[in-house]
Amino acid sequence: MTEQRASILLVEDDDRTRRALTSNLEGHGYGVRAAADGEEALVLWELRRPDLILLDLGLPGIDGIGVLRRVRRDATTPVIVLSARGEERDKVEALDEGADDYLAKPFGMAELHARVRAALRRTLVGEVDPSGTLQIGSLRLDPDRRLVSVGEADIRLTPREYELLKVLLANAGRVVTRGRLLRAVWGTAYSEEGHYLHVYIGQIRRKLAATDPGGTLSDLFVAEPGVGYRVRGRDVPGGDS
Amino acid sequence: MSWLRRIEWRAVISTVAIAVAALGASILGVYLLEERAGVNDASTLFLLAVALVAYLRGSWAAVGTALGAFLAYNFLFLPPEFTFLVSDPQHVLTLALLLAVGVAIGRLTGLQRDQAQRSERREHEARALFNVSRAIASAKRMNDALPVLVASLAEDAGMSRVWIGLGSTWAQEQVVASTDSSTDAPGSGPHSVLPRQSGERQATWVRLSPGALAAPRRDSLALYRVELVDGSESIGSLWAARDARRGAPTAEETRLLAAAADQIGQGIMRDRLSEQATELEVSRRSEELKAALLDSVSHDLRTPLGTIRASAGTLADPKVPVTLEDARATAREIDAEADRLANLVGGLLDMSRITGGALQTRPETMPVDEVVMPAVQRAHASLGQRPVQLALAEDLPPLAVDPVLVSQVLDNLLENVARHTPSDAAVRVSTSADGAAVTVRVEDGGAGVPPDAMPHLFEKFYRVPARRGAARHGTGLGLAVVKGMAEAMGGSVAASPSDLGGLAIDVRLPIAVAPPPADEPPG
Repeated sequence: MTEQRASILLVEDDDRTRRALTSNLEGHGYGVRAAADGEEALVLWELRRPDLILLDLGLPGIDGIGVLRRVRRDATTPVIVLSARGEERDKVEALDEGADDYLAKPFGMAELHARVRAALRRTLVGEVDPSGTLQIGSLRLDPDRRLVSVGEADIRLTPREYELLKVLLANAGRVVTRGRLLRAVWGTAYSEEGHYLHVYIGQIRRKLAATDPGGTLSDLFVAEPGVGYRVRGRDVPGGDS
Repeated sequence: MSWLRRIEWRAVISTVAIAVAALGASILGVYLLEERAGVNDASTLFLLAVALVAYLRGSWAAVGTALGAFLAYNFLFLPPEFTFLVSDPQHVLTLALLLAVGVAIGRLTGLQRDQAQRSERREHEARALFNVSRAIASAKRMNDALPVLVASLAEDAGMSRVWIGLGSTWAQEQVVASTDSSTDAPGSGPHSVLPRQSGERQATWVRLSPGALAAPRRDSLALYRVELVDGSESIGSLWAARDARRGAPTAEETRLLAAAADQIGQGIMRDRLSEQATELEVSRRSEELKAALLDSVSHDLRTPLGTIRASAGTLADPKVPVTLEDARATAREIDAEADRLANLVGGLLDMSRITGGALQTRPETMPVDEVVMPAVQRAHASLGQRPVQLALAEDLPPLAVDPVLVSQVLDNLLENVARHTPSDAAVRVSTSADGAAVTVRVEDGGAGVPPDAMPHLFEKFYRVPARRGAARHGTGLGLAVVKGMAEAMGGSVAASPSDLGGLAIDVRLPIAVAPPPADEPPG
């Protein structure tokens, strides 16, 4: 269980929450460093280079977004953002700045562990296949040949559907915001058709389900309402658990 | 010479014509009787003419006629004829008698006629006033009575147009009722105004010519205005217009207009007062409702807090022996109660966004399945062992909905099922379209709700009365939030019994007007 020895930087300004989370994560075998504000967080980041960061967005001094930007200048270390309910805009901003996932407060410990495990698994498995091929379960996307297949069967996608699937697969397990999807597929100036994002996702879902009847591929996409989409991690089928 | 203008020349001329005709006929009669039939003195025939004129034209015309008869008889029939001289002293007596009796008959008959006319006018006035009162009394609100009122006033006061303007000064009034369709107020034109004064004293019209003295008279239409007052404050005017040649309103017409203005003014004030009273009543009731809601919320907040404090206090108490299992069980209880609190707070936040108008909807085009499938996916854990049946219609038009709100609507419905049905109850999610909208139905095979609870399901803090032995679940907010959010998106909700045995909730959602883009060729 390599992941159990992973190191976590916890940035949280509320003392009680920080203490409780620290002892809980330590109890689960993680090495935990805790920071109460942005400045302390950046010092610990420089000294320790943890495997994962749990980042509260509302911090005194340098705020969560500031910490995130600084971290993203050097590394792709997974960052899970902790935000209060209803602060959709902050959440989306953090994800656009490169955060991997978010958890809305108040959250249960079981959910926190699931997210932490999933985020660590992504880094430990390694970034990308050297050939550039993206694969999740039986689904393969070959960027050289612009080919998508499930097992032996090819799936015919339109250019937009292909680009969408590619961005989502390349970020498997991470939440990809609406804005990032639109920029990647429709270009920097959002096209009118960005409005139809759900329609394109629906079409891909249908084509996957038709090629893989009774399979779990149609459950590949997880909608994060108001935020974006994610595809389940590399261990599909089965999902995070 | 204003008094000259005020004389109605047409009436004078017709009166003179009648008098002359009556006198002419009498002269002919007297000539025939005296010269041909040999009657000695037929002068009484003139009295007939006097009585006739008195009957037709009143006492002063009759007195004039009597005078004419006196002169005519003297001139034509009494010797020396064709002079105003009288030779026979007896004839002087006859003449004097003719004049005296003529004047007396004329006055008496005329007075009687005037009285009859006056009482007829009084009756007309009374009827007109009655019309005004009835129009006001039979209408619930003054505004409803005004169109009828102006019409009956125009007829009874002999006006060509009557209208009512409301405003603090007469130049800024807005027309609220008028006998014709035009709503333009006269602005600052010259008009006559009736000064309002208390008591029975007869009011007279005062001519008002604001602006230039030489303001032209419009279409020779004369305008009359009576102020509508509340106490001493002017709230508007009753306006009337008619052809200037018809002259100023008579005393009766003036009284009618003044009385109508009084009643209209009072009616309008009564309306304003009752509106204020209604507003007070509404705000009082909403305060009561708020207090009741606050009670309910405080109770729901305190209950889990109480459990949490009692459990945590027990764990922290060094005098209480706690085994590890006890501690874990207590901690799980605390976690569950905290979750319940979080749910309630979340519901309250949603509700306050809905009722506070802070709910912004950004509709996007979404396939129905893209709304339903992810929601079912998310509810997977909470529905647990319940068999979920999907009955999704093919080829439904895409929806125009806010992705966040529509997700929460379905999450709440499925959460509701998970919370209120046995752990093995059937669940069905089905979709259908009826042209104008798509309906998503979420139904369950639970115990359902009694018919009398059905209409209240979507009310804030309403909870179906617990069956005996059943625990009180839920916040009473889930379905209220569903309703508020569905309606914010232009949809609606309805509850009915499900053929699965439990409750069916229908959410109607608007469909997208523009079709989604055609697929590009496969790449």
